[in-house]
Amino acid sequence: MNKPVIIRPPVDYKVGVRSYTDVPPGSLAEKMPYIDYGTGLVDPKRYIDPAEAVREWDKLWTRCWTLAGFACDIPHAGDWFKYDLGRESFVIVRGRDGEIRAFYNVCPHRGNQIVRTDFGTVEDCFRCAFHGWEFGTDGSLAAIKEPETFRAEARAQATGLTPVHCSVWSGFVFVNMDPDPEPLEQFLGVLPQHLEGFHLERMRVLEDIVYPYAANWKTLQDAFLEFYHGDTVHPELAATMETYFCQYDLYSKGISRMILPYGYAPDKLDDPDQVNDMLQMALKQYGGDPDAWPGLSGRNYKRAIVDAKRKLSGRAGWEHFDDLSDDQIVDDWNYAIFPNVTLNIMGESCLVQTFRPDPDDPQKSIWRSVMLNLPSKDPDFHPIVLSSMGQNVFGPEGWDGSERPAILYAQTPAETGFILAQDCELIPPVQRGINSRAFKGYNLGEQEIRIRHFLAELDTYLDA
Amino acid sequence: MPESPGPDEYRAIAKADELPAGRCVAIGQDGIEVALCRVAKHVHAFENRCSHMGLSLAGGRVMGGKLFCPHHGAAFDLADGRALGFPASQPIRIMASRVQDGFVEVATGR
Repeated sequence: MNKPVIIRPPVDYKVGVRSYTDVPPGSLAEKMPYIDYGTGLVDPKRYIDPAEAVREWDKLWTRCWTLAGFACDIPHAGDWFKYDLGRESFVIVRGRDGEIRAFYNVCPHRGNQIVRTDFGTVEDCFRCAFHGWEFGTDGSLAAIKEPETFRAEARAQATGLTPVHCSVWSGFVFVNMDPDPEPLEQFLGVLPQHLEGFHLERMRVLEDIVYPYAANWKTLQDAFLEFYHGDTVHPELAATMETYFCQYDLYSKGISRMILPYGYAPDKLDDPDQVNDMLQMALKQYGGDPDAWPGLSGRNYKRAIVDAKRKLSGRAGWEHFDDLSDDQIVDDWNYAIFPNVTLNIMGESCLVQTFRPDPDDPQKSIWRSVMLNLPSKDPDFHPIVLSSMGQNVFGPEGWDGSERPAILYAQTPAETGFILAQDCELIPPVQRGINSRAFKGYNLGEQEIRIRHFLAELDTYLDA
Repeated sequence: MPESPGPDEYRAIAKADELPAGRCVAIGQDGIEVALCRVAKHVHAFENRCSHMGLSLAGGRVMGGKLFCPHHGAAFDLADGRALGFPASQPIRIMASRVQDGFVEVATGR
């Protein structure tokens, strides 16, 4: 028997759909006005052409702020992490004065990379492992080994590490290779105002995964800019998460948002009044009791989830939840930071994904997924692992964020988590298809408007 | 005169809850320096001498089952002390260790 098809009223593209029906004016949940990007096909060359990748390197990656890592990963003086972008590598270090600085990860003597692991700390200075030249955490040249063997002219032209612009917002560390960049706060547009209440700077790393994708970085990221694919790619999520009444908002600076309401049975389900197993599991994973809500319809189940999360926040000590709306603590408020970051924020957790180009091949990219979570003061707390959302996968009991996991370099999609593995399986054949002579270009619907918005901002860099 | 323990005898050398998470701490014992790395409730112990240039591992980061030397970035496997790549090629010497009644006990092997 075929599933009944829901007949929807026509959608005025200038109005779009909304996640919520009762948003007070001035609320952060307000739907943004429409931007008309037309209906033209998106040129497939953008996703496969080596010349396009070179243009992106010259005009985008070397000119804009990109997310390098997290301040919480370098809590003490001398702590550093490595950040690779395309053909470049950087070391980000906390200095003796507490300031975070970034340098090109290259010894000015012979070009050796100063650091080779993802994280580390230095007692007093960086020591190049090739010839032992030493550099302070402020980048200054501290010592040349056996300097008397260098002529005075050679000694005079020896320099420290080459700095790169570095700025921190809400615990997120960004770098910019442009010699004269706009301030980070300006680049981030509405984000500081929109995300202040979530206190991302209080979150700590629960999981950190890197996976090499056989797809252009934009092919990959585009999939995370829409949830039109939710029903087909993530059917397990679709039992508890809205896939139709999802709001897509566009802001200046290429920033965009989608709000994916969570915690109830969407009307697409065969019987939305039923409290399905996935909903019960969702409630239980926040410490709620399904038996305490007799008669509550699946359509209204978010009430129970909100109640459980409010109680959870009390036990955990997340006082700022009192200032967040029910929608903010339960739903997926999903922001994109131009050019290559998406944030899935669900109250206490934030899945940070970055999409970096492969240094050599435009048909490959490097995906990183960092799951941040608010530490809890409750010894019985165990954080939900968002990469396997809805699958009852938890972090360690009593997790307080004090132990930073290493980056997992996944070899298989399964290692990336139940939900994200579905995307891992999805994308490489999409890239293959984009290469086909038969493919004329993305033909996008209004649920995919964030892709056009992102590409329009990208064009302002490429055409500059 | 206090009795000197045998090389395979465990001796308490630190309080487990005083060891920071994620950092290597060096403590002198039996005339040698012991590098202690706590991961959750377990503590790993090594001779405090990086196999690369013989420098102290104290202050090095402990993360993801590895210890990183704070001088030239050599990495070692916490499970067995083996070197995990340039610039170190040799292992660091691991010592038997355990946590008993909140105290870290180490058999220095010396």
